[in-house]
Amino acid sequence: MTGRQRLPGQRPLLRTLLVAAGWTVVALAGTFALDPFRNYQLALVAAYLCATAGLTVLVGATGQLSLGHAALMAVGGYGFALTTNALPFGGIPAFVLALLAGVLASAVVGLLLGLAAARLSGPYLAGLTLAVVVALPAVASTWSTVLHGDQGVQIPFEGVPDGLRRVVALEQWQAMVAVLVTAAVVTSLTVLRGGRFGLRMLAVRDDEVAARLSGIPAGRVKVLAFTASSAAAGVGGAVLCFVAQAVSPGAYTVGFSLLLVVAVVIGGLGSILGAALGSVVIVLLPWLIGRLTSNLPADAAQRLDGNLAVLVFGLLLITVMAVAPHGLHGALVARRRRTTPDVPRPTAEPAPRKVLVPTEEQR
Amino acid sequence: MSAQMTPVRTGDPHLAVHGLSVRFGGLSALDDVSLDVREGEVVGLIGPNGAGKTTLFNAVCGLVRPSAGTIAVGGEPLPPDPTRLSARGVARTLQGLGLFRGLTVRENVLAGRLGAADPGTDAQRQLDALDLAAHADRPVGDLPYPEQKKVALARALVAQPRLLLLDEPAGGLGPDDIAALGDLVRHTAATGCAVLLVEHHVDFVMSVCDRVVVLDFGRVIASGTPDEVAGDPAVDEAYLGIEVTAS
Repeated sequence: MTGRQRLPGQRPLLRTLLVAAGWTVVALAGTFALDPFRNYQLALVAAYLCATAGLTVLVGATGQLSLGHAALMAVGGYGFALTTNALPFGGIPAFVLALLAGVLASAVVGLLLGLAAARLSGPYLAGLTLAVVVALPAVASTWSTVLHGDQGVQIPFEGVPDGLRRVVALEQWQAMVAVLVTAAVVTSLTVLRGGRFGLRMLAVRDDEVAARLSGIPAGRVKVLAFTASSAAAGVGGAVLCFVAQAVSPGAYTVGFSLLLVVAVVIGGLGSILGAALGSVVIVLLPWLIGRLTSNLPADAAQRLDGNLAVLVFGLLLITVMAVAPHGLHGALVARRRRTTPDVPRPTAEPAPRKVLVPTEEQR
Repeated sequence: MSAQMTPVRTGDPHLAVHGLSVRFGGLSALDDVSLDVREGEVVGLIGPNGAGKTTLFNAVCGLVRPSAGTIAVGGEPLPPDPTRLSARGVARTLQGLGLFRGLTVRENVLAGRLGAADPGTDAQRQLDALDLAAHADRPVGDLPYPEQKKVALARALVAQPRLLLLDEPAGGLGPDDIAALGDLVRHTAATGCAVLLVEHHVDFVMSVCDRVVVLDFGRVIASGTPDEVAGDPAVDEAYLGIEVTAS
């Protein structure tokens, strides 16, 4: 026997990597068809997707609800910004090092939170993670010499590398980098969820005692899942910092943190494709609403600015939950099943069996 | 049925519980309980509600911490850690179904064998053995209750345990399924596995078990063969709540 065999139904790693590479190429090619603003929006979607993909795996697979993923994004963003400013060189090597630092910082914070989270559940865990986001501005103020309080940390402008400057604009370059980084995160999470660890997470979610009796270390699984999810959020924060060239506590409010949860629920809990759909929604919806209200009188537009988006998100959440309880991805899957010709289910009505240990003849 | 005809193999105690006491605050759930189960033996643990049967299972599995006593499996002390039971060859089913509702039948069985190098083959073998292969890729919640009970058993058996703890395996089953369950328990014991089961279905216990231990208010009040226990006045008193005079 050599090594550990793949689980039945588990997609081969090579196939996962090829599918991921295919989608990445499509997204990169797509950046050439988009104008600078759309590329900026694509970069935002990519950054949010890192956080929502991590969150959907955490909530959907282990049942741990985190309302504080915005804070973990902020940790990644601060880690990225502080490392970028500390490095004596720039360019792609500095970006990679700063990204790793941001991921490490968010993973460490996630590990500490995860250790507490493994002992909590439901509203207690939600409260703990919410408290972290609420505390973020206070943390930035307390260590204002390093984190610069409400102003946040700026990073030096990093333009398009010389070799590509003639071919791509700044926004496109940022979108391409965001897509590549996000592809790595999403692929890692897909592999993590698809293998033995994924099955362990689902088992812990469904029945923790039964999982422990089956030899699954429930506490360790929950801590690792929280850490992985935090690291993914940290990558999102780092990418957002790379795009905005700054990180500040004002960008990671409680409202934004809840919006990440809304994105995951609207997209479909536990689905990475759903997380992508949810990320698109939270980027495009405020922009669409802004376009609609821009034609209103200035006074009305000013009153609705920001508020209407929150109202629409609330209505959208209620509507999606009423019409498609499994989110947008769940609705797509259900629709595909309806349109696929019925295949007789061999197990639809099993013959009555009253033997637990069948004889050779019965088999 | 060949499984029933197979002579029971007995040997050294595989599970040995000595002087086990468990307290929940001021309540004594188990008080100085001792019992053993030998390889190839089926021992039934019966008693009225609240007698401490499931608490004993929980203590063996490390889900509750005893205040006194020892628990040994295969002559070695059992660490109070449920996640290490599987590695020590101990498997348990839960009083309810204890299934992973979001998983398929196959995944539920796989979950009991994830530490192995090739859990897929082991799970398939177990699914075939319990005639569950046709349902393997269905969500476990879609199956009828007796089939779900089989999945719970399959998950316990997939790791080929040397000690099997069954917590109310006959609960919710009809007469035919109970008879089939009896076959399975005897078949499992015939492979050398020690089986300890908690059950309220007295007829099932009496027909399947080699020995029966009766608990009441956390203490062992009787033990012996099914016939010996059935004729014990203390058992009647515990179940009926009246003093029975032996004739």
